[in-house]
Amino acid sequence: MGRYKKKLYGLGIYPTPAVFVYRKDFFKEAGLNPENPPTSWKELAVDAVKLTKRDGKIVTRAGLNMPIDEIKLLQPFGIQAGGNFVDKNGNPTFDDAGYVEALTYLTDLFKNKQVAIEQTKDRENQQSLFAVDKAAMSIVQPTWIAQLLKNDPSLKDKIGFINMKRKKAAVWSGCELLFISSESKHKKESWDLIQFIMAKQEMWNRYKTTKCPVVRKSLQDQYANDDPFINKQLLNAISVGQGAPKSMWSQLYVYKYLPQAQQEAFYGMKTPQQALKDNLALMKAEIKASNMK
Amino acid sequence: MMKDKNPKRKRRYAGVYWMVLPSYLIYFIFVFIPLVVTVYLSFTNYDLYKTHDFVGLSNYIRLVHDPDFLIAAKNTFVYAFFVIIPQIILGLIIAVVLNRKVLGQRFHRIVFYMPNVTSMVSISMIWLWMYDPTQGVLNQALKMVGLPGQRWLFNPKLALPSIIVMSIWKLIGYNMIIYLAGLQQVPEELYEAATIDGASAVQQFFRITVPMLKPTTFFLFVIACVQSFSVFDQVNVMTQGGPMNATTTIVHQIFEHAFSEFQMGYASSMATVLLIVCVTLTLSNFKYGNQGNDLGAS
Repeated sequence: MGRYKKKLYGLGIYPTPAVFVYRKDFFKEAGLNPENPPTSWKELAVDAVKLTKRDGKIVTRAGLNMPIDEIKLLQPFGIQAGGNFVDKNGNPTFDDAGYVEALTYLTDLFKNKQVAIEQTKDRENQQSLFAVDKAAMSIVQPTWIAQLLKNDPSLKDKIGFINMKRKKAAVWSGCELLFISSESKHKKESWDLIQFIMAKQEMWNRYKTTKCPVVRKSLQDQYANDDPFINKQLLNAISVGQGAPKSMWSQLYVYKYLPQAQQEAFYGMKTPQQALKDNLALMKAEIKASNMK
Repeated sequence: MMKDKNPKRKRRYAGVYWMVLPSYLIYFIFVFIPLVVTVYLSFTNYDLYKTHDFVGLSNYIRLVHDPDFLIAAKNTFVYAFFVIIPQIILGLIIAVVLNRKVLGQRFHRIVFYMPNVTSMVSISMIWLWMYDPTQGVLNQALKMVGLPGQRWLFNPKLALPSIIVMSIWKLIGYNMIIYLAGLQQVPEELYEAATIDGASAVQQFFRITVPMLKPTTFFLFVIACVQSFSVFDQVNVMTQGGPMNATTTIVHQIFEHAFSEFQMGYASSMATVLLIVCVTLTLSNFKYGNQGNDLGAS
């Protein structure tokens, strides 16, 4: 599929960058400078503790939103710490030092500092805690921000963006790709369709109607100027972002074993290192058993 | 078997066959064929796209070494055990109470039956809010009486019991309505004779009501077994099998492997195992439960 001279080619059509946002009014309420969001892991931990609100032992507002089975924090933090989820041969490697450091850090926030409201990814996708004032900092999809601002335009002054960096910058940013199958009987027609979909005007129309970020470089300035508040952040997220590996085992990585490792560490069943190691081994066993390539 | 040579009767039977044909066709197309295809796929590595190789018993061998499937099987059995018995016992007790002339009898019957006609997804959403650790009514109630709030669906030890309680609540109404129908068939003379003989209400319940409702109980037990072993909706809506697989069930694993990981062949082997378990349970019920129709022999 989509191979030419043994290399896999595809054209990005639909980037899905996630942005790291915070509420300026909650920062002010917690005695923090609303114009000075955290830029390092250390600052993030300190701010998350200060921003967390509790009723007894129950967290009523999360300092940092951390859905227990969502990896859109863990993967970017792992990459920021120098980790990688895939080696040069295309095999999964999410138990390296970077990932261990990231999971150790996030586990400390979740388990020891208790800065999060327990939440699943499914419920977060139905209604983000950030959207209902129950999280001060969160990774969110841009569509949520657009919806929030549509409902309450005054929120524009209350929402800010966080750009984290350790060894390097990284955020979650997937991208859907268009391929032509090598077995296609209609390669020319497929290429015509791709050309139509990727055409400048068509891409701009798609952005205007669906808010889908543009991928043509020639449109990026126009895109950034059209809505500087969010679009500049999205372009930045796309430039440093990484999504799921383009591999048959990507579903296992995103939806099963990395979330499982995260939960095992969050709930203290295993050390972060052991959780990552065990789940990588389980994932490799499943890849082998199911003959995934 | 002798052939029926009576042409009149033959014509009459032909009409009967035509009448049952639509339901048989529906069963054949939507149940029997998918069942056969599922069993066939369980011996392949079908991935919903291209791969479709025969792999023999390897999917089944993989099953017995799959820790997630073993946890799912354990959870399914625990769920079934703790849902089937309480729903039948509570359904019977409520039916007996509401079979008497109590104040607001119809209203109470409707109230208990309503959850059964509401979709499991809607009910799961409502209970999701009730179980919410921060704003849920359950924790608010605990707080009012000075008890600490619980992380109902996020505590691995509480998550499955929380789903079990919700399921029992939903299923009681169905058991109640079937038992109410069964109670109408119990002859009043039996109670009159027992009363004359000096039997107390409790004795009448255990010596007359319970034995006379044995066929109804048998029917409810068989239905509850099949329903409980195929539990999925509430798990998928409320916990997605978490936390850490504490609530995953066999059907949830089938769904995950088939539609998230595209391992249709492996998922089919799980479905086939579940089918065998359900058929075995049902046949055992028929054999050892004597279909509940052993009253005449006693």
